[in-house]
Amino acid sequence: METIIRTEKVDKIYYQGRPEEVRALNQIDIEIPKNRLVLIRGPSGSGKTTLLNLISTIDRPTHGSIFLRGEDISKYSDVQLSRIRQKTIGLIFQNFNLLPRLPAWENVAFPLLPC
Amino acid sequence: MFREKGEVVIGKGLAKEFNLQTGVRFTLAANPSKLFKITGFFDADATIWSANLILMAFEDTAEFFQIKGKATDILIYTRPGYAPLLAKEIQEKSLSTPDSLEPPLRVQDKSLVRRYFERGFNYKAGVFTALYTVAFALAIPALLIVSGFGQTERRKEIGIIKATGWQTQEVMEMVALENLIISLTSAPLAILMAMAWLKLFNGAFIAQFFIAEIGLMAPFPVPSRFLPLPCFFAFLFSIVLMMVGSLYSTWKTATVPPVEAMR
Repeated sequence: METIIRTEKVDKIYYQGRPEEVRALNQIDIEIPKNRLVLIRGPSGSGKTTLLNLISTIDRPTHGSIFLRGEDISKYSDVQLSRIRQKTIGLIFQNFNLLPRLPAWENVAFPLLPC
Repeated sequence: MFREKGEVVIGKGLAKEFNLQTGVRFTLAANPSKLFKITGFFDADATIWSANLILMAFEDTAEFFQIKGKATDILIYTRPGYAPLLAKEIQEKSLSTPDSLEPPLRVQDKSLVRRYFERGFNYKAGVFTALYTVAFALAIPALLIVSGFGQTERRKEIGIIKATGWQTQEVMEMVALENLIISLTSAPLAILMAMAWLKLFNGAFIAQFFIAEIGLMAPFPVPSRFLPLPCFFAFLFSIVLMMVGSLYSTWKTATVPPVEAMR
């Protein structure tokens, strides 16, 4: 079965090198096949949201690689990542992250604007 | 007016600057051999006219400047209504006996001086108004920027926009367009505020920044004239300030991963 998303030894470290350093993800390897519904479970603070942020390209890994349809997107430029977010990946945030000055339908339609 | 030789009346500004009292004797660097004695102080409604004045007798002036028997300016008091007649008479006499070594005599009566004064102030009015308008135009966006108006919300908004796929360049374009609209709005607003402040409050508090030594409340009507140029200045300065103030911070926010901006 074709793999659509794959991570390879992904680390995410917040506040690296500072006393408050937090290792949110440690050497994560996962493979998500195409046309499969995948659930990620874990206790609070285990790094579920961090992993989704990395896969959805709104954050960058500290180390390791993320492959989307076989391409290593962890090395992509800001412009390329924006294009992926615009064309390929959809994400619903835990806390919705709506734009308060826009009505509901415009919030839904907003990602279509630059197209 | 003066009882003895060397007596002078000095402007209040000078007296304050050098802490001078009545009876004090002094010399001036231009001719240290000439000694003056202060007999009084000169004060007018507008300190700009009297601050640095030294009033002395004609003979003392001639001695000080070493031009005995000559005067560059003479003030003549006449009976009311006779000024234009006398001015004409003096002018005609000077023309009939021209002195090739001296510049031509120019006679001005009070009404002419008043006209010059008004014309000078009218000319300055445009400059003052431009300055007031620019001051307001700068103050509006400066207040918004300095107060960090909506900065946290703005950061989050940029993060969300980036997360939905907008490019940094598109975010910058959006912010530039917003700045343009704000500047276009603040320019007429600045002019209206400047107009209201000048017409209703006679430029209270801020006029002193543009006209020297008039104090918090100007003792005379502050000149004002409204022209298209101040409007243009207001727009130009406010857009420059808005762009400088917001484009860099927007660019910084837009180039970090969206999740950091949304945090």
